[in-house]
Parts: sequence; C-alpha cells; structure tokens
Amino acid sequence: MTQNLEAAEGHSGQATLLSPDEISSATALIQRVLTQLDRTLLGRQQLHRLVLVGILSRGHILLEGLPGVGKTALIKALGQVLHLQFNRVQFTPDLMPSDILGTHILREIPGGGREMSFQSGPIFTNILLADEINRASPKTQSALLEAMQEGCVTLLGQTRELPRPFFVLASQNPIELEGTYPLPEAQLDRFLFKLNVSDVNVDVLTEIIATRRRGEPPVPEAPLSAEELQDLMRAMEQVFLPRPVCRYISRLVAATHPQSAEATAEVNSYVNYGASPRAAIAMAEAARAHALLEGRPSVGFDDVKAIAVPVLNHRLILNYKARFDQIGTLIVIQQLLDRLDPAGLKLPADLHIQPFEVAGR
Amino acid sequence: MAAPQEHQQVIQQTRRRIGVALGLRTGVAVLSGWLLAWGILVVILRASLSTSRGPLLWGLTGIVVAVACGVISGIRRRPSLETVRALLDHYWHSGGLLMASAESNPAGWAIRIPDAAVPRVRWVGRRHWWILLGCGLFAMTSFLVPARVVNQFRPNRLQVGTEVEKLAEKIEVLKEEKILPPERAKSLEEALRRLQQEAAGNDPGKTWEAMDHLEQAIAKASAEAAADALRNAQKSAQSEELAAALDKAREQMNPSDLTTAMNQLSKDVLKAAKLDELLAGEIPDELKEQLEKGELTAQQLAELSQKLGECKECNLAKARKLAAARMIDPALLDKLDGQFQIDPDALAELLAACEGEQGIQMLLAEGNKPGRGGVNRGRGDAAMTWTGGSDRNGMEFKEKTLPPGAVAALKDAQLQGVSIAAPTPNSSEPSKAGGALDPTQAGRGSARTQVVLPEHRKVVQRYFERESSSGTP
Repeated sequence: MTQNLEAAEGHSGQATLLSPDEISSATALIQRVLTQLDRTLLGRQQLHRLVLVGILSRGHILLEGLPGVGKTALIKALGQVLHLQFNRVQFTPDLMPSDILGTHILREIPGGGREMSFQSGPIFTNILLADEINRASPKTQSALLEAMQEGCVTLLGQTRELPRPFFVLASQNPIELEGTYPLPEAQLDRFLFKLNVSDVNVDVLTEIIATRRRGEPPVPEAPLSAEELQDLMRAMEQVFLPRPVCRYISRLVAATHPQSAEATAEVNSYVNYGASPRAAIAMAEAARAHALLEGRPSVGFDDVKAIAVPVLNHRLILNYKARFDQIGTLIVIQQLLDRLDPAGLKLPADLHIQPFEVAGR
Repeated sequence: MAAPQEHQQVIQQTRRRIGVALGLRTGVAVLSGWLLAWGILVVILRASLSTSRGPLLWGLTGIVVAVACGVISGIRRRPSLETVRALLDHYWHSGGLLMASAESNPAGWAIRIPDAAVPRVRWVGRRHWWILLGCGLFAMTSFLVPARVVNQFRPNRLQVGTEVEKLAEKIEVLKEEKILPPERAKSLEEALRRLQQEAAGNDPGKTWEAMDHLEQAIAKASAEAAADALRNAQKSAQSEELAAALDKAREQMNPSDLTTAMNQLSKDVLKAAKLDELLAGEIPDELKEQLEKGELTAQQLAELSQKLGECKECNLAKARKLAAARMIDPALLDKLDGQFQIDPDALAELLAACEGEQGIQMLLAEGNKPGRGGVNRGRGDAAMTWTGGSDRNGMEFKEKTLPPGAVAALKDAQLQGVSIAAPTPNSSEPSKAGGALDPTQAGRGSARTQVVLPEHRKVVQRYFERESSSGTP
C-alpha cells in the first residue's frame, strides 16, 4: 500500500483510484476497529462509525450527552483499539491552562545550577478526553485552540509539537448549565463533529446489565498496530473526491448562509450565521472517511449527506425566532439536504428525470 | 482513462434528452406568447385599421421564431457533461465512481459501475400545453371572427381634424392680435382640444353643436375686433386728415379760427385715444400735453399726423389679418377702403375759406364727409344712393272687377295697337279718366251712365227708396 501511495498518479497525469484490494484491506482494518468498539459499547454502531470517521479525518469530536451514557468509555475504548495514548482531563472552573498544557518548573541540575524545565501537561497525548469541557473557564478553553488547530503548544515562546495523531474528544453535559461557560463559536468550529450520545433502548440496557458486572466493558482484543493505523491513514489520503462532489459540498455550505442563492426558507428565517469554510474542508475530509468506511475509493453524494448533520449542527448559529418556533439545527440541515439538488442541474420544477432501475454487473 | 464508451453514450443521450425537453419547454412558452401577441395584434389591426387577413398571415413566421428560440435555448441551457455524469452517478448510487472515472483512472472499479441505462426525461407541461392551446385558439378566433363583429368594437371617431385646425388657427390669430385675453384664449383652446378628443361618430350633432358654439364665439370676437379696428382706423384717418389740413392751412387761417380748429382736433384725437389703446400709447406725453392746450406747432402737427397715420395702418393691418384668416368678410375692407384715404388739401381749402368760430365748428363737427340725409345730418352735397331695388319675380297684377260703366266704356273702346312700351297719350282726344264725374263733361254724357261705386250703392238706394234691380242701379 505504501508503494501505491507513490503511484497515486498514473502515467497520464490522472489520479489512480485505490484498487479494490487496497480498499479491501483498509475496510478490514476499519471493520476490526468497529467490531471492537461495538463489542465494548453496546447499541452504539452509528456513533462508532461517526467517531471513526472523525478519527480517520484527523478531526476533533465534541460528544454531547447526559452523564453515564458511555462517552468516556467510548473514548477509552477507542484509545485502546487504536493502540494510542489516552489522557483524560476533568474540566472544572478552577482548571488553569497550565494544568492542561504543562508548565515550566525551576529545578536544580547536577553541578549546582538551576534551570527551567518543562513539565508537560496531559495534552501531550494522542487522544485527549476533555470531560465536561464547558465547565472550564474561557481562558482554559482557549488554551486548547492552538493545540487543536496546529497540533502544537507554545509556552514561554517555545513551540512544542504534540504527538501524532492528536485528537481531542470533548464531552459536555447539556443539563446543569449553571456555572458553565458555553464554548465560543471559534472553538466550536474547531471540532469536526458534534455528536449527540443519546440514551440506549431497553434491549441494549438489558444486554448491558445481563452481560457486564458493574458495567465494566470487556477489554478490546487485537488492537490496531501503529503501522496498520498509518496504512489506514494513507488509504484515507487516496480516497478520490470528484469535482461535482466538491461543488456540492461548497453549495451546501454556502446555502447555510441566509440570503444566499440556494438558501432554503428555513435558513433565511432561522439562521443568523452559516457555516465557515472550515466546515466545507471538514465535510470533504469526513466524506472521504465515510466513503472508505463504505468500501469505496471515491466520494459520492450520499457520503456527504451522511456526515453533513454532525459537521454542520454546531456551526449554524440560529436566531431567537428559531428558539421561539422550536426549530433546531437538525431540521434546518435536513431541509437543506432534502432540497438541494446534488448534481446542481437547476432544472425547472416541471422537468423530471426518472432513472431506470439498474442492475450491478 | 475515460469512462467506458457505453457510459459516455448514456451521458450524451441523457444530455441530449434534457436539452430537447428544455428546448421544447422554451419553444412552447415562446410560441404561446407569440400566438397571444399575434392574436391581439390581429384584433387591433382589424378593428382599428380594417386590415385584411392576408397581410396578417405573415405572423405565422413567429412559429419559426419560436422553434428557433426552442432550439437555441435547448442548446444553451443543456447541462454540461460533468453535471449529467454527476446526476447519473447520484441516480445510480454509484458512490462517485462514475464521476471519478472521468477524472481519474478507475482501474478495477469500472466493472462496479452499474449498468448504463438512459433515464427518462419527462416534462410535465400540461399547463403549458393548455396555455398554448388557448393562445392558438385565440389567434385563430381573431382571424376567423367576421369583420362586422370586429367593427363593433372599433371606436367610431368623428373626423373633425380640419375644422379643429381652422378654429385653432383663428384662435391663434386672435391671440396674436391680443383680441382675446390670454385666459380666454387658453380656455377656448382647451375646449377645442377636448372637443377633438371627445368627438364621437355616434353622436355627431353634439360635436358639431359645440363646434358651432366655439365658432360663433370666435366670430363674435373677430367681428367686434374688426369693427373696433375699422372704427379706430377711421377716427385716426379723420384726425390725421384734419391735422394735415391744419398744418397746410394754418397760414391762411386767422388765429381764433386756428385755435377753434386745434381744439376740435384735440377733442377728436383725445376721444379717439380713449377708445384706441394703440393710439393712446403712440402719442407721447409732451405732444398730448400740447394737444390738450391746443397749441401745436407745425412740427408737432406733422408728428401727430404721422402717429395717427401709423395707428391707422396698424388698425387696418389688424383688420386685414382678420380678413386674411377669413374671420371677417374681406369685402368689408374693400367697401371701406375709400374712407381711409385722406385728402388734406380739400379740407385745408375749406378751413381757409371758412370764417368764424361757428363755421369752423360746423365744418369740423360734421366732418369732412357728406351728410347722411336729412336737414340735420351733415352736409347737403351727399350723393343719393339707391338701395333695395324691387324684384319683379313672382309679382302679379291684382284682379279687380270693373264697374259696369267701365265695362260698357270698354265695349266702345277701340284697339289702337299693342305695345310693350307705355302708351302714348293721344292729345287730340281728351282722356277718359274713370270716376263718378267722368261722363259728366260739359255738353255730353248723362246721369244714366253715372257710375255708382258698390260702396255707395246702399246710400243711393236709401236716397231713391227703390228696390235694387238685377244688378243695374
């Protein structure tokens, strides 16, 4: 697969798609991860797929859900399955940036001298679980900005690289909002996905109680090696994004802005500010990862639709009218996906194209 | 590597179908619009200009235009190959493979692309077709509807343009000559304009009546203006003649007579100036002052004469302009032409010969023109004029029954001859004039032949108390 990366472009200058064999091996790895995750957290298949999409896209994920629904367990299991270092920080109002990033301490060195040595914080890891991130002060929340965007930390004028890969998986509690600091839009925008971790149904709950003492999940088996993870990341790099899909993503993001050419009535009525270009970039990467999960070497319109909601739902800023009408971002995005023609044909309403049933070869 | 050939063909065919559908849609819309516009045009032209159907058939060329519009629209609006490929990829759920095959090497993925099938492009244009049908029927109806039906909607206008133009010219003349005040002229013009707009052939009497009213108003104003102009011209001419005559005769006249004549001139000129604004404006204040004093020098007299002449010419010019515009009878000007010619020499001679204040006053009061008949109406050398000659047409002699005596006399009469001329009386024989005493000439005649007129018959009967006989007294 490594050799194929160099051969990504053919002799004619055209990009070469991943071969079916390469896709098969990547899909097998993905399936292994998903199986492990599904075994660890029961009844969360869709969530696991999206988290994996986020990881493959090298994005940070914000998990929102009530306490005890398995957010921390998921992240812990992910770290174990991917064989990555994992740190957890419980955010509190008195948490300082140095508590996360690290600090310089004065210590004696052999020979009688003193020097400032850097004591790295918990951020120097592969997966950082920022638990209840909205409880920390804005100052501490902002300390994560550079780390999330650039993958490095600058302290006393010295920039230190964070381990690769680096993911921030933050969680926040939608209730008990007293004494919390809602994440500012600039920081929210740095999260690739915002995923809602909902309650599990009765059957899943029964299964958990019946099979797990004290709710302890089983230890994941056969975690991915570092090389396998690298191969997976390289395969991600080769997933082809056709130009019409790029255009669809661009139109989709542009349509989230009120008064834009393709904005829906809901967008015009309820959205104050639409998604940023970073959202389009995130959507493209996430669509690539989704296509890889689906076992395809190229991105289709359905991949974009599959990841559009988690990418956009925390990036649209709705107005008060939406709150009064009880309209959420989910409804606005869903209307947008339903009404925007992916191909951008712009045909009159009375002109219909009826595809015949197709049969695969 | 390009997409497989069959996929490419499907994409091309789909694109063509979409182009055809778009072209058909545009063509139908353009054709509907054209048929509607054409139908309206046909109705308007047939109703307003009575255009025959033949030339209007050129509108059929609009169908060609509509087809051309459809073709052009179909070609221009058909989507690009990339867009069609994306559309088919979406419909076939090929997960971007079809799109990727155009931009990259599909390697072993080509066989994973679903079987190519040209989608069906369907235009649900029922509403458009109904509109086209409606417009077509309208256009056809506009052709087939009989002319008499179309003409019912034709506005029946009364052609009064020429008359209105003539009246407008007259109003313009009156305005130029300041005969009509501007407000009055404006209101007349407005009335004329409204009249032309509202002139309807269905009720011509109303229009003509209004036009007559306007014409009468204009004619009245013209006649009054012409009369004023001619009167002023006449007054100016008389005063001019008197001024010129005084200028010539002042050496021969004694001072008192000259003063009397001057006063009369002053009186005439000031009286004329009151009626004639033009004259009032023409005479300078200094000259007017001297005129009122009756102490005009020879130079001032000449100047006054010149001013009076100019006023006369101005008034005559106004009258001529009215005549040229047919607003007054030109014969009136010709008739009065002699009255504006001045002959100061004759008047100067009369003034020099006239002596005494009373004589001068009489001469000048009566004017230098002959009188108009009567002992107190001017000079007696007026020429006699004969007007109103009798017409013999239709005149008949009144039949009168002659009395029996006259009938008897006629029996004895002898025919001397027949002539159309008046009979020549025969001097040898006395004329036999009729009358009661006619036969009672000395030595001849008798009472028997005495003629008793019918109105005297009863008186005679009572006198003689006898019964009337059968007709003979």
